[in-house]
Amino acid sequence: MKAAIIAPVQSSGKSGGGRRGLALGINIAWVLLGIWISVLATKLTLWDASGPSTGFLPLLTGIIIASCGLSMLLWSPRANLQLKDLWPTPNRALRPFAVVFGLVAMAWLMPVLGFLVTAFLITLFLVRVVYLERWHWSLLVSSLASGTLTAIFVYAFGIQLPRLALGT
Amino acid sequence: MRKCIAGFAMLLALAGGSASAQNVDQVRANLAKLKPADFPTQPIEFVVMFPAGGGMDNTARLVGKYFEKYSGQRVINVNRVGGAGVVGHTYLATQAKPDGYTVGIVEANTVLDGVRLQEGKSTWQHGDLEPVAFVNTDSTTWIVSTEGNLKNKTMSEVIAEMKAKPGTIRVASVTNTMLEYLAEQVETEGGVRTIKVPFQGGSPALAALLGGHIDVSGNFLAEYRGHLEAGKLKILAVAGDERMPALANVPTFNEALGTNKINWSPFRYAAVPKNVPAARKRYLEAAFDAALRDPELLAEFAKNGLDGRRKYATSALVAAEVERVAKGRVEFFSKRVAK
Amino acid sequence: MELFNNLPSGFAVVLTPTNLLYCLLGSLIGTLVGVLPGLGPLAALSLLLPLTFKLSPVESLVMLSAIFYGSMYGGSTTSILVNIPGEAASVVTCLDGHAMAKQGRAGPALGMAALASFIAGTLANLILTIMSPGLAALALKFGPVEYTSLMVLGFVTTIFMVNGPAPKALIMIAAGIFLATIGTDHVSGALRYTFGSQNLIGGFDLVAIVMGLFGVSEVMLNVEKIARSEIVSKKIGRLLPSLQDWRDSWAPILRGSGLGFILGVLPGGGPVTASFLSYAAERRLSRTPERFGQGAIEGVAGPEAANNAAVSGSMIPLLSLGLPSNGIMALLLGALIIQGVQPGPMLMTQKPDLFWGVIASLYIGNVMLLLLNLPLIGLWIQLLRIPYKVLFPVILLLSVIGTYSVNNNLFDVWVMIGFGVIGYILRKLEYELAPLILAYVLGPLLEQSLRQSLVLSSGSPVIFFKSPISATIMLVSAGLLIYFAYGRIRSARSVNAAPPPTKEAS
Repeated sequence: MKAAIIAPVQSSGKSGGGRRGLALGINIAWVLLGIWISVLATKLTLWDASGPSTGFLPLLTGIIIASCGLSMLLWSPRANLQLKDLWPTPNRALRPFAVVFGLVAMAWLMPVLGFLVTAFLITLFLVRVVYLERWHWSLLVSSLASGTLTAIFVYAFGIQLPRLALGT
Repeated sequence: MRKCIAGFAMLLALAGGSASAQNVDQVRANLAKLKPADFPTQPIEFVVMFPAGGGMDNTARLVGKYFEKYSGQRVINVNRVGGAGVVGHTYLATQAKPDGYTVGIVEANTVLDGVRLQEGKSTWQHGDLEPVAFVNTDSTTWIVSTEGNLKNKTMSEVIAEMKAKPGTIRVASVTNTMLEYLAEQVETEGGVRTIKVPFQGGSPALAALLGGHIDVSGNFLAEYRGHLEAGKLKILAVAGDERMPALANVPTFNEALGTNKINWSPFRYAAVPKNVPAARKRYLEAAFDAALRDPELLAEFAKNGLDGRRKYATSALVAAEVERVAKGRVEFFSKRVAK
Repeated sequence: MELFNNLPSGFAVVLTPTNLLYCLLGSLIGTLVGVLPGLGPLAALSLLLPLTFKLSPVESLVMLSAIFYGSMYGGSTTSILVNIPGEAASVVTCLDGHAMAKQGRAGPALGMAALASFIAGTLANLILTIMSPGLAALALKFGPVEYTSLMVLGFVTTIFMVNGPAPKALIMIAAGIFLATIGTDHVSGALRYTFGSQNLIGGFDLVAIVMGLFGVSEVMLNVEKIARSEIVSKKIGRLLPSLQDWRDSWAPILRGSGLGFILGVLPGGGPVTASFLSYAAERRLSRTPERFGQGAIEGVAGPEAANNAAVSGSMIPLLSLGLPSNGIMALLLGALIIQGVQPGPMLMTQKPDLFWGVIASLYIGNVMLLLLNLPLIGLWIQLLRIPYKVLFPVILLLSVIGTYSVNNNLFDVWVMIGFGVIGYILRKLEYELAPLILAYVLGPLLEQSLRQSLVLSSGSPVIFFKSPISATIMLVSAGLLIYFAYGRIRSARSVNAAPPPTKEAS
């Protein structure tokens, strides 16, 4: 967990065997991304009278990304990652996707239903589906969370959030 | 200089001085007569395309305060920021409900840049924002440091200097703003060549000027008044059709260059989307007019070098002025592309 | 000495009940804003700006600046306890602060964060009081050329701040710079990678990226791991750091104060850069760099000192020049202009009550925050002692509110979700995300100042060595680069000889 932000990263080196799949995929993705950036950058002005112009910096970043991806593809140790390392608990593997689904639904519904109602529905969904809480507990959490936040931010702080035609 | 500004503020206050308390009641009563039965029943949103704390935002909040004073309606400032103002303008022109509750506080050149920056893909044109009231004009100025090489020179002498030593005078430019267009137009109209140094905004350019890293900076009076009063800066010229009332002894670029084409003054107005019911629009026009004639508001404007004199008293006059600005810009940009 | 007349008069201004009340209010709001992830000081200040219209200039500036440095105090709390930075300047505090919390030393970490903030804040205020006019003149000497060398130094430090495989770090830095190039090129005005989207003309919003990479992806990782709240079940323990902690921390605090102050004064710098650079510096200077990331108290004390000192430092260009050195200061400037006060060289002589009143309030606010934070830390912790199944929907809702309310633009929420997914994948694959953010901030500054300099010199790079300040910084950068590269090669050799102990990915 902690390692994810900035701390020294070392591969956990637990399991062995043919582990290339995912890291191979991402390294290929880096190379393609880098090439894509570079190709589009060459369509901009690269150099003008006084030196580097609009396209120069993106081209540079594209080249760096592509070549770093390539170097990892070719030379990085085979101690790469396996699905089992990435998702140690398959029974909970769907939870992150439920979180993303909740956020996407929120972004869709907020302009229509307003912040308060959307927040209530999404929280209900998240607590009920992700943590499999009972209905009454989920209802309590979601009404408290959406109600309190609306009270603090919309009424106390006066933030503009999407509102339903009828007030909040 | 400070005396001069204060004097102007006082003059304005005197001019509007007849607006006594009893007069305010009169204005309110007149306004109430125009009020449609079903409008407004909820707060009115002033949409600003730039972040809180900026010049546009400050102007909108000030106007909102006096709008509330005369109409008795609550005003909420909403900052719809993004895409160099394009997001907010697009919202106002195409997404906001034309029910009169959404009013944009906009500036003609940024509206026009909003269309231009989309490179032909814009879903709206400046005419889709219908003016309801003129707010104020600002004046773009060129300034020099009182410690720099150009400290003793007038605008015409600076042009002569630029001619004598082409490509040496360092002028600040803020890309895609009036400051860039102004610098370019001085070059073409004056037949000179400068080093145009790109900055991200007026403040960094001002700092660079004070630090002696550039020779000329383009700024608005509100941005540098403190330094001007401290004697660190001198104003070369203003980029308006006429001299600024607050700075009567500063020439315009047109005077110095012998032309009439240079006018890069911010022109701020209030606008609504198309198809707002006529009665509501009329009420908004009257309410803005009442607010913008308030002597206290005009004095606030004057303190920051903003000209709020009601030269464009009707929305038709405002629309005509926006068209005039648009026409001047079309001419400028067609030459620019050709070049 | 003038000073002995001015500062007491400043205190006389602040020590009135109303001004003290606004100072306290600002400190409380600031701490709250800092503690709550998903609401940074920038968003909070822009939200509260309308509240200040009814206040006097002194009151509003006292309150707004208290919110700013109050958030620096509060930001460390969530970093240490939950490993979620309450605001961007506390990102590095997560590393060692949270590691300490995991070892059961959350108390000393929180205590040291507050005390370091207090000491640095007070020290920086002293420097601010004494040197204000002189330092402002120095800051003016920094033009495009000096900026460029400063940014080069920034990137040199960034590259060597990260550990792990070099290609991964370079990709993150390059990706950060690339993301920053999306939108309008501020030099030529051309559009880059906008694909006809009007939302992209101004580029991505920093808040949306940070919320996605650090807020949403964090939640995604947590929900699949933690069944119940792990973070807050630990005991905080006593707050006061031990004698050994002080022995480890006094030098980082002093260095952090100096570094933070300087970075605060320089336009473009600020608390975020200050905390990152302080952490990098402490790790490089440490005789035991391997302890960093494992709960070294220096890694908390240095950055926390630096971000607080940066707040005081950034008051200098604002009050003496009227120039905001970062976004938050731009908001404070806006607040003053609304009040009809134009900050500038004249402020000190024209409105001495405002100038010295605000400086005096900085001293008082720091005392208030220390008192608020140490005894009241229990209260803030209570906020966090909520089970994760309750906390995570709230964090998500806060991220949506925080992201949306900066610009009132739903597009930013979509950007946040997108970066949440990207951040989740990258963290799974053990990429470090902090360098990406730093590159995103520094990249455009480097590009802008580099191109400005070259416009000034008509394309000749010699200009970077003509200015003494720039030449010095460039030489320092080159020296660091060589030193770091040498150190890296050497450590790479020793690593090959004896592989490091493997660490459990929690």
